[in-house]
Amino acid sequence: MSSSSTTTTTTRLLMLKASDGVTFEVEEAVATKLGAINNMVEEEGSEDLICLPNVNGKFLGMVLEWCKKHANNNTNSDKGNDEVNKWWDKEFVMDLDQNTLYHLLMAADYLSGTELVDLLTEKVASMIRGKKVEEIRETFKIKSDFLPGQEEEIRKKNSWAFE
Amino acid sequence: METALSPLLAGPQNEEMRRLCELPAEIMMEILLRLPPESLLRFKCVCKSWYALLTDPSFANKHLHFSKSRVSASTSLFLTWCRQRLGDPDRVHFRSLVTISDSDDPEGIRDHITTVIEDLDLSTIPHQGNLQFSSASQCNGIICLAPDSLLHGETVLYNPATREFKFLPKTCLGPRASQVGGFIAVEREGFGYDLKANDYKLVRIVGSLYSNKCIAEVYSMASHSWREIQIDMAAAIGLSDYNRIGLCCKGIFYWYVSMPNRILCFDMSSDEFHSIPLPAPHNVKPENVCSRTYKTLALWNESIALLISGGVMSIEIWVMDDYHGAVEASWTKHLTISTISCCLYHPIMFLKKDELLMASLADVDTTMVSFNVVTHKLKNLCIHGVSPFSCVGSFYTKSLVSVNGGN
Repeated sequence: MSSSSTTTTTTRLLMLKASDGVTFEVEEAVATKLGAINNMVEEEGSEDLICLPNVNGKFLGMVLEWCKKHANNNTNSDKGNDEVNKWWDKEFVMDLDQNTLYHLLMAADYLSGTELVDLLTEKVASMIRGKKVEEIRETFKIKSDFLPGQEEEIRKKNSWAFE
Repeated sequence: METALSPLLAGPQNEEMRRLCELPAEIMMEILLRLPPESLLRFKCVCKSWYALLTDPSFANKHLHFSKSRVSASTSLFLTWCRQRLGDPDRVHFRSLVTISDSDDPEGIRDHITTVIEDLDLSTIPHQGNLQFSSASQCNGIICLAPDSLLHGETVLYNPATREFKFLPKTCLGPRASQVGGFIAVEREGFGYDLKANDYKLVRIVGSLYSNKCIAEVYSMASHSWREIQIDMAAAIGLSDYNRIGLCCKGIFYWYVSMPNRILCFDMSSDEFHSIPLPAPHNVKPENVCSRTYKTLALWNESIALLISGGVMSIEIWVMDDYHGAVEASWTKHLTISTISCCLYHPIMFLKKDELLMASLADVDTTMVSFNVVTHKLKNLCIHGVSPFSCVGSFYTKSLVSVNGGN
């Protein structure tokens, strides 16, 4: 997707370098959707190459893809953009597996992409909302560490919530 | 030039397979905050660390604030109201959790709003015999059910989302009541959260049938006890023609009192009662019977608003500047609505800045509507048979807040 020609003259490009050496050239307006990058740009100003030793190229690419969509949609100031963003967010998280969700959440959190953290935590929440305890343990690979009888005791207190 | 964002202590991220259970505790908590109480009650028995987190009162507080601040497609209310059929002497009392959703009508074209009503189920509160309550007020998901007699009946705090309940101890005014003679009826009460003390409190003012005196007491959830508080307002109360439930705003309860015409308030942190005059044009006493108006207190834009209706085909909305215990409060007239339709309804509460929930004054097929105070557009809520002056509402959030009051 090409950006509009009127803005290209003023848009600065930043180079982001992932942990595995993969680099991304992104418009400043896109990268600053991430709080951590925004702070660096504001504080240090002149740097054009930013190294991100905690994010690998694959996931940094996905995070930046999300930023780009949101930055593009927000420049066309139109009320429909909220809807477009919502629709696109839905697509973005639709088929993410646990491993990708984990790495994206870690990356978004590390880069202070608050909106993206929101979207991803909401996605995980929707995956577990109606689940049974056993399913939660299965999903998260958690082993019960209660002493015998303790779990039954807790269940008894709110037995209706288990129905 | 080159710069680097400092790495986390955990070391560089690589593509190795990870599971969600390896997420740091802060992110895990962010996820759990987004779940409804019934899921969280269940998830307490996933493992010890989840149990510790989910039973921590500070998690319940975070969950409450997250739920309140969250932008939602629907609005939840706790409404108490009565239904009385024409010619039928019996009023049926309702305590309902109401969900109003206009997300399926973003353009605002329809003349009705999708409404789901769920009656509060009190059968989960074990009790011998019938529990009879005459009032119900709500704060942060906790509902306070109370009788109208000081000496008889039970007062119960109930969180329907966790089904947790607590019976309050008997009044501390018992001996005083018999001393002074015949203090029986609870004239005004208010249940709310005291931010400064991080405590839930119930205040009640009890009036005598035989004299013009009143006494008052306050219950603290943290100490689970009542204590008497000074109220020096002889002849102030003694009128039960208005809503007895106080409106709580920033730690202060407000009640409208019609004789004499004014607003009574109680500051939870200083334990003091004050009296606030009405806006000047309405501060006349005694009020002329012919120009009798109805006064409703409502929260608007985080301030106290006074709605004056039933007068000359209009509803006046006055907003009080933040009140800090001064005797003189200042009022600003926000709006006068003069349209024929506004005098057919009685205001209940603001649903949004410009949306006013009202009950119809018609005799037949009374209903609730959402009225836009700017565009005058009416939307029907499809709640029928409401006695117009019986309805009290507050915003409701399902919460994990415990009635057992641990801070």
